[in-house]
Amino acid sequence: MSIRLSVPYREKDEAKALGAKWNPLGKYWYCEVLNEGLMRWYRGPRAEAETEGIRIAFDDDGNVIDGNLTPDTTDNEAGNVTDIENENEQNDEENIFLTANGPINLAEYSSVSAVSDMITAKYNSIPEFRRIMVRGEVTNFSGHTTHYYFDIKDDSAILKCFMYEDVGQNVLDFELANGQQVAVIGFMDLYKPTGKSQIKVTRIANIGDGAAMLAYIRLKERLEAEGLFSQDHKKPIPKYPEKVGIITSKSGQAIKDICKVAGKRNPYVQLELYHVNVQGRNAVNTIVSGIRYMDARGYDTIIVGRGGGSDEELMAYNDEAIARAVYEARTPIVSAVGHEGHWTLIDYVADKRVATPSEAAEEAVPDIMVHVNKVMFFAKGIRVNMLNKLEQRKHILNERKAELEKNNPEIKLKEQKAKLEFLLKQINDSMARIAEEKKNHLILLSERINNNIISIVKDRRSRFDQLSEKLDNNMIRIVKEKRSCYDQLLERLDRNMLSLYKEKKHRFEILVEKLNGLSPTAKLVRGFGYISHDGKAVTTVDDVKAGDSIVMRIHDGEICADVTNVNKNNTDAKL
Amino acid sequence: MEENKDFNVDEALARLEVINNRLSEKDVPLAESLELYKEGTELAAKCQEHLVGVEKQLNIINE
Repeated sequence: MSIRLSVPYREKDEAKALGAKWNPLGKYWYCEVLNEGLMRWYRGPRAEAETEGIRIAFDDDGNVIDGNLTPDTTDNEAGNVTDIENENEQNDEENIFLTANGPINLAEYSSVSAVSDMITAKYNSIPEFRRIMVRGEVTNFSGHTTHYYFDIKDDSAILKCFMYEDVGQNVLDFELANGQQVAVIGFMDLYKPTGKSQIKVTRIANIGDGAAMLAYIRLKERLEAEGLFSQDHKKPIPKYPEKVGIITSKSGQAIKDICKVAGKRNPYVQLELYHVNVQGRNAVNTIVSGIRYMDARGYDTIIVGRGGGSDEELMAYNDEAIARAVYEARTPIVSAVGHEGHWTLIDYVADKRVATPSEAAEEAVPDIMVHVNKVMFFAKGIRVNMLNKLEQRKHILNERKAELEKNNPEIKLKEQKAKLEFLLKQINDSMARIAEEKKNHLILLSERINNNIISIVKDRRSRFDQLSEKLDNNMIRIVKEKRSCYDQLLERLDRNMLSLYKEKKHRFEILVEKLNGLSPTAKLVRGFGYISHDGKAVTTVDDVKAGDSIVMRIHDGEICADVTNVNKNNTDAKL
Repeated sequence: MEENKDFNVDEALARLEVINNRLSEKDVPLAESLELYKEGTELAAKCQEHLVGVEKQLNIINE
């Protein structure tokens, strides 16, 4: 049964020490047994406490019983309770609840705090509890930040211990650790928030380590001295593993946690499980075999681990053989044995120690997305930068192009061509105009020339005509003169010729008469002939000699004769 | 995976960072930036390929 308390925040430690508990869900303070210490925060019905006997305890006065409470407090509490009592009387009727089993008067029930207080009061009333002396082995001690919480145990029982920070500073002359045998002096107390009884330690002494613990500590010291825990020996855990070996039980929660976490972080990493017994007789052997097996097969990282357990359950991982196997392995090993604040031997040797299998998976299998995102970021950056570069160049190109366009020779050429055409046209026009002018001038000139020539020709003509007329007249006169002269001459010639002719004719007739008498033919007739030899006339006898053939021509033919003799005259023969 | 044995993702990422920094500089010659871009995208693809492979199932060796 829980009794609700209204504890101001500043008084919570005090209330807690007196056995008040905090309900984190409902966010309120309560106690299971209402003792007089907690009464001051109790606002419930008065009758409840009375029924449970708290009233008596209260009436008896806590001060008298344990002597710890100051009279002030008691007075206050007394006053409070009186007030509450009054209120309760007024509210009596409202505290009756009707249930299926009949009416319940809440006033008849104690609050939890009231009962808790009863227990505390009882503890305080028993001298053996007010000074308790006990010895046992320290366990469940996980270090301290402020106060010390630990248990002491023997083979069959366990007791909770609590020691204030300042007490610890005063009385502890050794490093408190699990496994130590200690002697404790303190008083029994009910810690109301948890409802658990504990010894509030006022003195503590080390009376030697437990036997197993002692052996463990010696082993640890020896291995440490050998350098098995050396930071220099620790290998870095690969950032980009491809194959991760896991040495644990195939049926434990550890492998499930590892697979879940590793799969989430990087499903492309090959996980391989070497099944081992994580506790019990074969644990050490199988774990050592597993480490050696996997170390020989090129895994990037090996996880050796198991879920949390009691010291006894984690025993195997304190074994020297395992520590040495881990030390000798060339593969980086992540150990995940036990829980936070509780190291086993393998944790000291391993290259990386984490508290849970899930953390081991995080350690051995880095989150792929971190790297993938990084790659994507770079790839995107490179693309964006490249596009910027191209854009930049494009911009420059456009600017240059525009500039170039301004200076385009084609445009200049066009302009010049137009100018040229204009000039040409001007020239043509001018030329045409000049030509026209010249033509007109020429026409004018040629007309003038024509006119001049005509006048000249006319002039000449008339002169020629005059001259030719004059010439004609002269010629006629001359011809007439010559004609008369000719006629006279011709008449004289005729007369001279006639007289000459008559004279000549006369002389001719005389000559013809003479000529007839000298003709050879006439002589031939009178018996003369013509002698020739070889075609030549023979005029002398020397022209021939005897034997020659001669021809003698006479008037009616030829006589052929041979010369028989030649006689030449002594004087010149005359014809 | 065997052919990627000598491919180092860490070095590749470092190189990618260098490339990115160089590319973001103002006066990188175009030819160089093209080369860097080519190298960078290839490297990124290679990294991606190296990082993201085939999803693996748990193997139990000594069952």
